[in-house]
Amino acid sequence: MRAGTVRRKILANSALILLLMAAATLYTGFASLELDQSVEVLFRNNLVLERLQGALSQTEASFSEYLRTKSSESLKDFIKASTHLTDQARELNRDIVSDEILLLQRDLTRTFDTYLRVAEIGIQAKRGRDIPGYVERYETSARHAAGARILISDLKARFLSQALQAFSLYRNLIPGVLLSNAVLVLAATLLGFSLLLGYSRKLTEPLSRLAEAASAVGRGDYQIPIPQLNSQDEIATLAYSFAQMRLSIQQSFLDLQSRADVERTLLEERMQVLELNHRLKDAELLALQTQINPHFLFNTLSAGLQLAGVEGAQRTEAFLENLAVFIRYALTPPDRFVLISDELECVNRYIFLLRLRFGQRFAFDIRMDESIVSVEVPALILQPLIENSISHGLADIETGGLITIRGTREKEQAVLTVSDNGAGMAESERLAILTEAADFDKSPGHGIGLRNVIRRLHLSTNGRGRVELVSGEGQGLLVRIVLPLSSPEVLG
Amino acid sequence: MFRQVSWFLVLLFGLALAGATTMNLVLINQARKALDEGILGTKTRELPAKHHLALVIPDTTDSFFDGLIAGVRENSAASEVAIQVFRYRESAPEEAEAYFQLCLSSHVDGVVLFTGSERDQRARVAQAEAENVVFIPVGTQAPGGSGQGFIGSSSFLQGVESGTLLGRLKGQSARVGVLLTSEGDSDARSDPVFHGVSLALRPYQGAEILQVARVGPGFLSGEEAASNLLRSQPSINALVCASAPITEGAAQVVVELGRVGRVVIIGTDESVTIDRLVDKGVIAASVVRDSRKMGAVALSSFLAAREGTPFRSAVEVGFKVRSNKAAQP
Repeated sequence: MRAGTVRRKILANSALILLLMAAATLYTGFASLELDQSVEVLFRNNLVLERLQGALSQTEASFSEYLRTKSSESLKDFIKASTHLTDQARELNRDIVSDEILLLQRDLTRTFDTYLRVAEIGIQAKRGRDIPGYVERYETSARHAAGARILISDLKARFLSQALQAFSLYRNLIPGVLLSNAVLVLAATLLGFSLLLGYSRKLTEPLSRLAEAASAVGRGDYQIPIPQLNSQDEIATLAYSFAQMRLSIQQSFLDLQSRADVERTLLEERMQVLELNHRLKDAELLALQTQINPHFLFNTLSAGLQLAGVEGAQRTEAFLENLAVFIRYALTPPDRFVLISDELECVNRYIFLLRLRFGQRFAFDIRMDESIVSVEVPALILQPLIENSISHGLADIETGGLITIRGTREKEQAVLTVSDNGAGMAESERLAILTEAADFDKSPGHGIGLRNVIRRLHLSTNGRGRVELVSGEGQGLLVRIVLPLSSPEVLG
Repeated sequence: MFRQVSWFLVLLFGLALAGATTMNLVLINQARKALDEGILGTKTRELPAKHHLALVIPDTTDSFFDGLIAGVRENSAASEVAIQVFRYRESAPEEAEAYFQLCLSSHVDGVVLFTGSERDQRARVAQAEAENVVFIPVGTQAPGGSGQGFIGSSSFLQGVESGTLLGRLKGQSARVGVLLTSEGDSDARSDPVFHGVSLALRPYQGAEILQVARVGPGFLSGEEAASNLLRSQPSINALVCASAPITEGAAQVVVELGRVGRVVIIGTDESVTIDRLVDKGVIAASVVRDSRKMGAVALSSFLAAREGTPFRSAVEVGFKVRSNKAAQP
């Protein structure tokens, strides 16, 4: 960039316009002056003739004076006047040409010659004291002088006529000249104005666009294009610098935005940690609370068991014993693994408790393959299924309710089934249970125990174990638990 | 868009400026050229010549002199003769002498001088010879004492021709008024035109010239004279006019008096007006003096004299008659 380029451009443009106007003004001025001078020249011929007439009169007077006084002074005057007359006559035409005015000039010069010749002869006669001679020459010269005056007068008249004709033609042209002068000045003015208009626009347009861009940036809009200038002046530099500045601002904003995103993410993570901590504390509290209640419950049940023994209430004592064992089993951590034999014992105790409550309303058929009794399975996977059959499938059956529990080994899988001959469930309900079991966050509906089993089995076996439901409306429910045997005896 | 408009305006006004400047230059150039026409020292555009011939004639509207000048100029360029015309006032014939003297003092090569018959030309011939200037008098009637070199169209013959035409048209019933130019003897009845008319009418018994008058120069003088003549002599049925302006004036009077056809006009020379009036029948015929031929002969005589051939005798160039069909025999 060269310093002061815009200033130079403005100066150059202004100078151009001023020069244009000055040239137009000067031209019209000079043209008018030229025409004025031409008009002066128009009457030059008459001035020449006027001088000739004066020179002739002077020559005549000096000639007369000499003839009268015969003084050397008058002779000198005559010589001087006649020389002057001859010199003046040199401006006139002497050639024979086919132009009457030029022929008149020729007549005049030759008449002057004749006159001067006769006058000189008269002077010689005067010197020779030839009185008749110089008198005759004087008269003759007077006639020639008169003839010359006629010619001068004729020439003057013709020149004047010619001059008037020329002037008339000239005057006819003058309005046109003046009009063209006016048009010239007007055109020059308008041209200058147009140049000014165009150049000011050219100069200010990038500035306006730059201002618009600056205003847009002020509003937070970074999309307005910044003029790309190829010139090397200050405006181009300004535009380039502004573009750079906008880029920097945009980059800074992006940096700030990404930093804010990171901080927000961190904050969210921190909030999650806090939430987890909060939940952990709740869990700890709950754990403490649940630790307190079982102790209280077991102590109470033990007290009841001792009381039943003391009082000899064997049936109550058996109930309390089974209940206490069952509760202890149920309250142990749910993610532990137990032997199927332990699970089967829990089921038997649960059935004992059910029979105390329901009597012989439900029948239970339990057959367990000995080859799988030592297989480890997640705790409490059979009892909730039995509870589910009693609560739902067999809830409306007063008599004849049968719950069948089977345990078999099929190749590398341990298969446990719990079935009933109850009301069964519709296909949509069956699918809903399976789907809801996969998404534990959903609110549980019917069959909470069933979904609990499905879920826990899935989590504890890392998806290798599965639960299958076979049912239909009025066709009972069969829950089939398939447990892959990763080792001959241990599942988990 | 704005830029395009700006550049369009620049182009438009630039062209306007260029156009106005060009127009201005052209107009100024024309103006200067117009002024230059009248400025001294523009001889370069004129043709150079070998001989300088001056023509001294009256300043009148008579077409006779236009023909005379045209005749002199006709071959002047080819003969390398520069023609200069001096016109003296018809009412001041002494100016003719002044111009003649001027021609001598300026030593032109030749002078063609229109002269009346009343002046003896011998003195002029002598002066011209003394200055080695060729002198050719021209006119309608040879001046006394100097027949040599004169070129003319005889007024007497013109009168005879006019009278003959009148005789054919009016015969014995001719009642004639004769209007003559102001040049010549104050006694109009001694004018050669009058004599010619009188002679030509002589065979027609009863035909008579009722009045004769001299008329000043110009068309209006002709009108006045013809009007006076016709009012003072209502029986006049024919007018003989001795010049073109008189003919035009007389014709105008006849038209105004409503006597076209009843008053026969025998005019002189030709002009646009006379030709038109002849065609309309207002003027029966015009006896045209062949002034063009007179001029041409004057030029050839001048050239012959410059070559050393002396004048032998006067030259009569003759007439032609311009008439409408009714006047033709």
